[in-house]
Amino acid sequence: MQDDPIADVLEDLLRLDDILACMVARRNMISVMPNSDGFKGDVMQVWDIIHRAMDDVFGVISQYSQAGLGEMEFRLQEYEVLFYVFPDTENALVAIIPALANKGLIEIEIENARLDILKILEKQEKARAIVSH
Amino acid sequence: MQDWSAIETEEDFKQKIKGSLEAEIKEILKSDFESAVGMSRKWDAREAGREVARSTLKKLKTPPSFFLLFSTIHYKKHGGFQEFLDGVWDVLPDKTPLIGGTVAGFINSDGSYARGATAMAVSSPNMDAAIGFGKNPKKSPKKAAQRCAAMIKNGLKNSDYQNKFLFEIVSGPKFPTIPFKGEFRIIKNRSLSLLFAYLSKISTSLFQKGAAREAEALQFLSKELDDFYILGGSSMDDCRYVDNFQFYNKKVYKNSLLGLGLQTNLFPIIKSGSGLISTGKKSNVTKDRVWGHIICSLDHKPATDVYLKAVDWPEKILDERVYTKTIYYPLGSIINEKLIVPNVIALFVGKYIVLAHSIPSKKLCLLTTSGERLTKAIDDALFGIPSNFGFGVSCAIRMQTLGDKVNIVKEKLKSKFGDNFLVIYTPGESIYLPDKGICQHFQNTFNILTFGTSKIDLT
Repeated sequence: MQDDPIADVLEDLLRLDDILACMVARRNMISVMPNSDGFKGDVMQVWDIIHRAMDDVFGVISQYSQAGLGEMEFRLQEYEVLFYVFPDTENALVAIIPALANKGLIEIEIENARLDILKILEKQEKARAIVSH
Repeated sequence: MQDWSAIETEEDFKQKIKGSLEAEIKEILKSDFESAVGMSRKWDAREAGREVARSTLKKLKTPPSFFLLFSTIHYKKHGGFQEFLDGVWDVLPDKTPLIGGTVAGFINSDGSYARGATAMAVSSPNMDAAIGFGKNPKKSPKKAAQRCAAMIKNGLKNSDYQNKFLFEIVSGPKFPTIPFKGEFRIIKNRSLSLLFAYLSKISTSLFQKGAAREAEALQFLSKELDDFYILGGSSMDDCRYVDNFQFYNKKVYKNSLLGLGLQTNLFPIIKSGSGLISTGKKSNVTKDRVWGHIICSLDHKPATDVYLKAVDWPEKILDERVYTKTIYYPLGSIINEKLIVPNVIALFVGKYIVLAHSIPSKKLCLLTTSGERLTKAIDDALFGIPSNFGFGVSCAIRMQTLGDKVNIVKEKLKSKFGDNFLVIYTPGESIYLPDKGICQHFQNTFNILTFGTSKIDLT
């Protein structure tokens, strides 16, 4: 199986203690997961309800991302789910963290991951443009 | 000599400053002063050490006069800090003076990071450097400071340069932990307040877990090195306050005070900003413990109650999430009616308020801030200083508060310094300006050091 550079970025993010799960997703679809088993701790026990809530949030993202919606988040039980939207798309980098985590420092690394993924996507877009010419 | 008499407007003033600084930079470049910043985002400790050293040194034309090394806490679980430091020394020339430690995060021209390692190296033929070390500063800040200062003075005794600067890094605060329970962030039971206070003092003195006593260390350092400008910070982890490490030459330490002393023909310039403003609400400390780290009562009433009344919050707000709010409402110690030293709340323990750093005054006020004020403070600190090189020490609380918006700070620094800057985030910031009579350990501030060819009056 080919290495997916976006999965590598997610893998890096998942190595942080307070990142319990991360993925690139859109409504009704998870596009990319980290290479390893993507969930830590007890997140799997509440994954169903978190997943349904995520889909509702993606409904809002799809309506407003073209208007510049950058981030969203919600708290559910002992977890927070953070959405870092890719500009002008309906996709977002999604991270699940404990509700009492030190969010400030984690946000910095989630944003770094989002920027790295954007660079990868731009590179892939340029490569596609060259091939089609 | 610049003619300032023709200045009539703020725009005139800014143009004049710009011209003056451009002349400064030309002079500094003539002096063969080089600085370089590198980093690593590798997870493996040894590889990260090698990469951070390599990426820094390749930007210098001559061997470094000194090497400042910082990393986040993550290498503790990915090879350990001795492996990390050994990796650095796989690349760094032998006998290069090196100090550093773990920090919450850092900013350089590549970005803002809460994970990784970074370094700054400076090379100058007109600079002498010496490093110093003192152990167990939590037990005895006086002995640690005196030993460190003695090593610095001895190392620089043959220097002919007149301008003196010290960067110091000291082991930061560590929360006490309860066996089998782990860390705690809040204790609501008021009957435990006094017990906590006694145990804190014992924990700090005997086990070196508790208050870092940085303010005391700074006082003793400034007495010994009274003609040095001092900028310092404390080492820390990722804001859990469980562990932190310091790097001194080829060894890693857990409870030390380190110093890098410089004597040079360049003038050290240190400027600060905070973005905190007073709400006008004041009170007096009527009882405190543990060297002024625990406020027991304000105006003869339980400290917690007085604080909650001042911010107009109900008691039920006191859960583990309260600290996401108290960072916007720190306390401030009023010194001589002019200077306010911010102090962020570390813990609520029943009726007591625990601070990470001691209060330098019994007169307190309630401060407040916002994200916008925190970032505007950077502009104030950067205005009017040379832009050849910048090394900053800023409070980790600011990084926590701003989150990913800390990239706004990065852009301002990059606009000012280009690639030549590094800012580290620590749990407290120490400043000693001998000509201004300022000797304080602050919190929630942004402080930047640069070098000029002449003294600049920044008042």
